[in-house]
Amino acid sequence: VDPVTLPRKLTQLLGAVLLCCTPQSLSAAAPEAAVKATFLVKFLSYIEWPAGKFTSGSPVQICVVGRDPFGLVLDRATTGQQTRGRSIIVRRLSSAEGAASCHLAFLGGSGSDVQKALAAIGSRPVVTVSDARGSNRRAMIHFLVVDRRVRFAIDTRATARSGIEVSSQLLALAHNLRGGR
Amino acid sequence: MIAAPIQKNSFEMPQMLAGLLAFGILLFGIAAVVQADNAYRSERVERAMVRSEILAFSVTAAVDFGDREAVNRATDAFRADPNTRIAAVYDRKGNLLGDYSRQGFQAPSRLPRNNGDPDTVIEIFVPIEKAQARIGTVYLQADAMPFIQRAARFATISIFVLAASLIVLILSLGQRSLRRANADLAQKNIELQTAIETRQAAEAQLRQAQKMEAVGQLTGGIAHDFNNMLAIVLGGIDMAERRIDDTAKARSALAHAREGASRAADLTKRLLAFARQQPLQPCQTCRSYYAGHWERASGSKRSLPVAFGRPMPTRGSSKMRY
Repeated sequence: VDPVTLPRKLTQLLGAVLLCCTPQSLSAAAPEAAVKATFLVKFLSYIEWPAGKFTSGSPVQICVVGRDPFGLVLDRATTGQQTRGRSIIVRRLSSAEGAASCHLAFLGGSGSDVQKALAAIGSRPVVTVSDARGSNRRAMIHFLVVDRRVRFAIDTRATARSGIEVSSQLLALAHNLRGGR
Repeated sequence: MIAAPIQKNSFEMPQMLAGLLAFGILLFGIAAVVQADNAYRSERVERAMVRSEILAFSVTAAVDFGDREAVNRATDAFRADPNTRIAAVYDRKGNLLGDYSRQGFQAPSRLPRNNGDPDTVIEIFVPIEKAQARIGTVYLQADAMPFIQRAARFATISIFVLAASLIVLILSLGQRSLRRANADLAQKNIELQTAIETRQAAEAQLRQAQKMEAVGQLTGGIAHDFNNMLAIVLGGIDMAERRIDDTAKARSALAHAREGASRAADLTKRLLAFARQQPLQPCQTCRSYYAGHWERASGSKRSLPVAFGRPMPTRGSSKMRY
């Protein structure tokens, strides 16, 4: 099962090409926003929404509510990506009012903005993500920076309230469930 | 004991069968060991494969998110298996993300090629996949059991098989020497039989010769006795002829002749008794009777120098035959 079947130089060339073009390699260059953008896309593979959230053939929607810290990085991260055979689209919303159809909503802005958005979404089956620092208000998934690396915490009670199932593999990576805060 | 006829072929067949049997047992044992060894090896490889697959599945998210800490936690579980040398996880580009390495081993920083000796090392590569796309590789290196240890594992059955074939061989060899000894014995028996027969013939010949000698002596003795008596008879008749004028003396001479004839008749009677194995009939004999004969035979008046007086054995005693 040897994966390295090409000559080394060709492999290096391929690596260089991948370095330029994949979202993961962009994150390696380490702007925090880029890492978070790729994480948002990757979360989709480890989350189960309640039945009826998807209509046949509809794409998966990632919404950015309020202030957008990603810009083009998120669009690049979703381009050409698929999850469970569905394409991914990015919607940007000024408020959480239209977020009911989103599958995953990143709540930008300060802690109070996050609180408002969470209240608007309520217990609808939308995976909410926040990264507001210095605030107790956290969405279901909350980005942290620990040891200069981007980590995330998962609020399993909040996901359970909304009928969202998070894969045990993702839970195992969650900072809070691993003993951190 | 009469030796059964020995057939050369009857030895060779069981001998060959025993050899074939020993060879068969040996072959069977080797086949069993090789088969068990192969099964054991493939079982070990299978086990390593399953573990690698479990690892690959459990680190999918960690690899996806590039979480080295989580990868290390997953690979550290291999610490419990003393046979695992290296359990390492590489990302899509072949860079090491996290690993467990046993003391004395180190996971290469780039995904290695499959280049170990399959007899001493088991190497497993399992792709880590997410939505049918490969996002990384699990590399597992484990000890393959060295040949000596595997041989030790099968020592019991090997010894059993060797012993069985040895027993068969030894039995067949023993039987062979036994058969040889039997044949030797039979040969000696025949020789002994011949010797006995030769000796019996010689003894019979000797007995015949002795018998003939005895008969010759007997005949000679009888002829001598008979001649004596004939001499008495002839002498009496002679004297009677010469003293025919003196009737009294002639009568006396004739009486002597008659006596000689009657003794000859006695002799023939005894001979007949001897021939018919009749019991003897000993009788009292007067000393004076023999003394008269003595005087006539010796021509002197000296008394017979024989002491008589021992009592006669009883008549018809079986000790007095002949």
